[in-house]
Amino acid sequence: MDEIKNVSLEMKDYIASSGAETLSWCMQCGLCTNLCPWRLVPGEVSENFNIRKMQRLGQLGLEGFEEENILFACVTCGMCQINCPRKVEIIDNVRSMRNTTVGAGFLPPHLRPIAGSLHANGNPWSGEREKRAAWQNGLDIPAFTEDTEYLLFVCCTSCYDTRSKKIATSIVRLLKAAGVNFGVLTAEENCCGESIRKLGDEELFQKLAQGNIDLFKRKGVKKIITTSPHCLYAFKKDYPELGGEFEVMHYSEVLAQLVKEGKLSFPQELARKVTFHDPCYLGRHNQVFDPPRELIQSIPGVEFVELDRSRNKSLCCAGGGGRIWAEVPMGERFGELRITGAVEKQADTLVTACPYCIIMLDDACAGLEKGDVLQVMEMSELLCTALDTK
Amino acid sequence: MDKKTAVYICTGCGIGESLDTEALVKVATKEGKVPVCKTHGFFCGPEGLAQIKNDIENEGVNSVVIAACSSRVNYDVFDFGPAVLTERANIREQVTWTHKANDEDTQMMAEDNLRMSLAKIKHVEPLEPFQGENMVKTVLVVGGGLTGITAALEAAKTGYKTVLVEKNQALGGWLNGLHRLAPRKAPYTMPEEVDIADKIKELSLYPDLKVYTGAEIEEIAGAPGMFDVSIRQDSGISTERVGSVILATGAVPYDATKLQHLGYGKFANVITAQKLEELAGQGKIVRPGDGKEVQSIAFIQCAGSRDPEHLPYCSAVCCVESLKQATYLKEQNPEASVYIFYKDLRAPGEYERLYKKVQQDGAIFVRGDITGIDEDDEKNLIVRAQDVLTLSEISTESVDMVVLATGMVPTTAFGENPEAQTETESGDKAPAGEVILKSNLLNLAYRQGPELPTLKYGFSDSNFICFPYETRRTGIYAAGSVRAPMDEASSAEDAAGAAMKAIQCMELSDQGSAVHPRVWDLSFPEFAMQRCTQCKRCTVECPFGAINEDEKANPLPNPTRCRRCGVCMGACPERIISFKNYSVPMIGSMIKAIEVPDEDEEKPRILVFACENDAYPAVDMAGINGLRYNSWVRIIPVRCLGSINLVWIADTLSNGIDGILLLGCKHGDDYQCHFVKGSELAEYRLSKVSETLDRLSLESDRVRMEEVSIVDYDKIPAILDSFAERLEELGPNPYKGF
Amino acid sequence: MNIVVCVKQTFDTEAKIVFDSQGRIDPNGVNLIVNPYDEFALEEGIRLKEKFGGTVTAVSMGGARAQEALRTALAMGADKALLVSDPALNDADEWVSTQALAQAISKIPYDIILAGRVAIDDGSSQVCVRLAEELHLPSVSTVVKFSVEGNKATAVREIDGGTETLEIELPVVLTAQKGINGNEPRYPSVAGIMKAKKKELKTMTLADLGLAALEPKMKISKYDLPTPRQAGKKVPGEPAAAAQELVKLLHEEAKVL
Repeated sequence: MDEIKNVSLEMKDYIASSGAETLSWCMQCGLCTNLCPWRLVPGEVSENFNIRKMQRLGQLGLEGFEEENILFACVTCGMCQINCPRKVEIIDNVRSMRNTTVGAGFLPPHLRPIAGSLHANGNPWSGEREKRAAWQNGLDIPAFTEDTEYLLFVCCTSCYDTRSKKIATSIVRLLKAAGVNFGVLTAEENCCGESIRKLGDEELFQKLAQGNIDLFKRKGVKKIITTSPHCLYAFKKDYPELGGEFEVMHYSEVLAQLVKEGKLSFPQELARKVTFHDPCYLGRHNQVFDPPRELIQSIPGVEFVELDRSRNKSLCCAGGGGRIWAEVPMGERFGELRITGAVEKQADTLVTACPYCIIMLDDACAGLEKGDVLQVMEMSELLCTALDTK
Repeated sequence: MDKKTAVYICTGCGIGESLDTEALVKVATKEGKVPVCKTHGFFCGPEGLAQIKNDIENEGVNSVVIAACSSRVNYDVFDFGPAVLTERANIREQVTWTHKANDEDTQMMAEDNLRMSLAKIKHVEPLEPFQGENMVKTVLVVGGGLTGITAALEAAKTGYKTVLVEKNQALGGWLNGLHRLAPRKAPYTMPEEVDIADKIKELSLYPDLKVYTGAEIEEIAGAPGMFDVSIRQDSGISTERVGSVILATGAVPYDATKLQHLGYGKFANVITAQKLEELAGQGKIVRPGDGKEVQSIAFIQCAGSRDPEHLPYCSAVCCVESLKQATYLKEQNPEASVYIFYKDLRAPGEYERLYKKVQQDGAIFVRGDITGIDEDDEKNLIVRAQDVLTLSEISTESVDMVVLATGMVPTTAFGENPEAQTETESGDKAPAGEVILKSNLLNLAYRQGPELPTLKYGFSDSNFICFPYETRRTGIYAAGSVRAPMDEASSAEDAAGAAMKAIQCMELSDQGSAVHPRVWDLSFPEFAMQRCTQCKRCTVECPFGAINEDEKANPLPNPTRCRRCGVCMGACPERIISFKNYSVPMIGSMIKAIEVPDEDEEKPRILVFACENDAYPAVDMAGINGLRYNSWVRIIPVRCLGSINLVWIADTLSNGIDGILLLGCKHGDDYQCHFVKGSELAEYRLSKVSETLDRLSLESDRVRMEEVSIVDYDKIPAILDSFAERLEELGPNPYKGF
Repeated sequence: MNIVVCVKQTFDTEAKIVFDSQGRIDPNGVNLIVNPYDEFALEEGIRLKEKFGGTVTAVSMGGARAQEALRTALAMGADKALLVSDPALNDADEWVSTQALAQAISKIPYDIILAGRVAIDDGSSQVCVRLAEELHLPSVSTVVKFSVEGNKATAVREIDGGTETLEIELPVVLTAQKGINGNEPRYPSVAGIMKAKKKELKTMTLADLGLAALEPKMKISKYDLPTPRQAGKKVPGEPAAAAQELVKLLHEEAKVL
């Protein structure tokens, strides 16, 4: 507090030109900082990360936001942005501020292998590119051709991670059961690039995205069903400016519509008390709230309860903004708050519809040792158990 | 007047079920000896009214007492024209609705109320409205800026002759110095052209609108409807006769030479907002010293404002003016660096859109106090401030210019403060008077002082009882930034409001009526001058400066300045002042009409003087809400506690009444008293009385004053009952039965 | 104090090696990074400057893209950068690289020359020691601790089974082990990154260095990918029986017991 900090308009302009044009709109009311989920947990990140202050440092071109705890703390959940009275694009600003260092080749050490893997293998999990379609073995999934209506795009996590592969297989089963005309191009795809873009590596994102756009156009893709809300976001909001215009839906939207049309139903009764965690990228960012609820509630026997923080107020699992790869001590993870929230509602099943949320919530449930009272399930898995009558 | 009095006792609204109507009739006919007394269950209905009207038309009744509901209701129903005297005895809200039915004490209350009304009406005479000589309906507007011009146009458009007086050679005032105006229409993001020239042109469309420029007011003498104005120009003095005055002399920027700590006067490129407006009007904004085009600028808000060492208040418009000026810079060069340092950014209402726009154009807003301003070798400036958000001191890069957004000082704030005249002949000091500065604006020939009183921070008197432009001088209205900091839109609105009030005043005065708050009161104070001892109490204590002095030092009343409160009547020790329907003997006889039981009957009597503005309505409201209190009270409504003459205290106590309660409005800084200081004067006068009481072996506790407002109706029972309890402790008035 | 840091731009650690039609390593689409060991050397060099004053010059040899690596070095805190770049150096072996670099560095004042102990692409670990020989300077490799006092330096280096402490008179060439002096390579501020854009980055060709074409002494004849890892064998059955079978396999097939 003693030394005088010098305002640098050059730095301010540099930050703004990296994509943070709305930085100057902020009137510093502080609503963002107070809505930020970091306020709900203790620890070093929570004590150091103040989004209003970070935006302010960017506004004035002052140093101090580059610390890893500050610059890479944001989970891009959108709680701040959706309530900002000035409609400041806070997430864009965070992304741009990250780009000022990441774009110059400086990623925090724990994220370098992720970027390296994306460059080399087209996915962040260090999985071999050739093995991207390995999850399909034995599932008889049609390949996408010009005559196929929908491309099913599977999140990298569900292509490589053992637990997450079950999500992909469940979704495939449901689509088949509903008679959807879909196909896959899995082997040739890149990661959608959503997370690495949020981390500030614009160059890498564009490389991945351009690869995908060229592939989709070449193959005549018009409609895409995604398994992950992050891919939904990337294709819907990030790809158009690069020339990729497609009709994109999350699988829950497609299935909910089919249930309404009577083309899909769940005959098996399940005696479960289910609650739903709205993924930030499905709910707040894409405003898809009802389809998952309609699907869950179309299963006979299911008692549905809402968490206190649901829909636009849903509490992030802490997987977005690249933080799925961050090491956070127990006691400081938002996911734990979701587990305790679900347990308080006396739900026995916590359902969500995002591969990242599943990782974070599974982790938190195990860490809190609530596995005996609460089962975390991806929605497609829940729906599959209700597909056949026993 | 030869009075044939009729009494009408209504038995509706539960009155008949609670009282012995026959006994009431006897009070009227046997005691009061009235020739006509009727009862009916519904006198405000067509049948009942028809009876009264018939008696008036065919039986020669010309004076009517209606014992029924409160005088605050059905006054339109019981209006029989100016030739018939009408008096209302309240036996509903203040008797049957608040006391036990069919009870001896309740009955005594009702009977006493009727007696008081009968006594009162004996003293009331028909009113003869005051007609001044050579009354005019011309509006005088002092000040030819936006506010003055708008007021003059509004008056002229409504069809009234208008005189506009402006000190400078050119009309236009503050707007003449502006390059652009802050936005006044959607989308509220762009400054607008200054349109004062169009308004000035409009003035010439009205042949009855006379404009004096290069002119100042030499003197205003007289009263509403009859003001004589002398206007001084280089060429000599002109006179005008006007009916009302609007003060619209505006405000001037705070003297920046006092802001050395912000670099003014020290550094060449620290200028005022006014100066920037001037530079902008000349084309590209360049530095006055070296002509360098300004590419970077810092605005400092609250420069000498909200600061106890300079102007303690906020001037309302400076933030928006700076936002406007920021757009000039960005228009000149979209890449210009603009800093705005502020304490709070006040861009109310639609101006928020301008604030957003300036933010979107990239201006940098810093909330925090300025810690220092330095100059570099090229006469650029570097500003340091304590940034609230980062909790650190920040320093800008060098900027070409710093603009101090100074506040406004009203024209009424200048001038000496002669001692307010408060000494009476006996050397006593009446309650502290108003602060009147010799600002040379109106030069009123009023004994009370040459200008309107100033309020907080030197702004003109205004906001007198509900209306923003009302002042304590009848017929004189203050509008625009002379009465409060305001923007162009508000000033124009203020001007229209003041013009409307000015017109109302002239029309009412022409009919001899008072203005707010006693609109349509045609009575006015009359002086039996032969008994006057020239003590000057009435002159000094009049809250509205309505009384001057003549050459013999006798009071010279100006009825059209008068608000008919009666404070003068209460002040006069010789009791020479009276209204045709409100006088010292009238109240005196009402007091004597109250029947005071002997000591052994153990029925005390309490007299309550309740002011008509808040106290009497509060008591009525207690009745409407069905509250209960003791039946010893007898309530006499007065126009203002200030109109209470001390002789009534003597009359009451010598009549054997045990206690006197004055119920009135709040006085002080946040006064509620509709006549400014009436209740304050009453309190002051009572303090003199307590010595006398003690000498007469009467406990000063027997006379009490309480402040109530109309919303305090729920407190009325406690006030009345606690006083009764105290009186019980003191025991009965020893003068009872004398 | 004048400090020179040799920096090499290498393939990303995660990069997949692919051959082009001529059997050479295909650099297309590969992410390039600053050799991680060189980052530690840079950190050490900048810290020395912060302590003793002076300048840090980052030197590299490579194609046009190597400028990115040098800009990174400048952003971290190096004051100047020098890139030796010439198409004739595309097939350079360690000897050629040393000749070019020595020629470039000899023109810069130096007290300490730093580099990472090995480049993660070819892993040869030769160039800096060769450079010391060429410049007739003492060299210490795989340094884990280093300090300077006056004209003398003390270096601790890793050897098999322990460490070795040496005292050297400046100037000296050092190669840094990861974590030298316990420091992590710093994360630059945005201000540093912006300043880096304005710092001097000079590119020199062989001609600029005054060198004729250099013929490598070693030519690479063939590249092969490593043998893919074979799938593991699962030994089934009850633990006792399985253990016996495992021992048999380790002895007979894997030949490790």
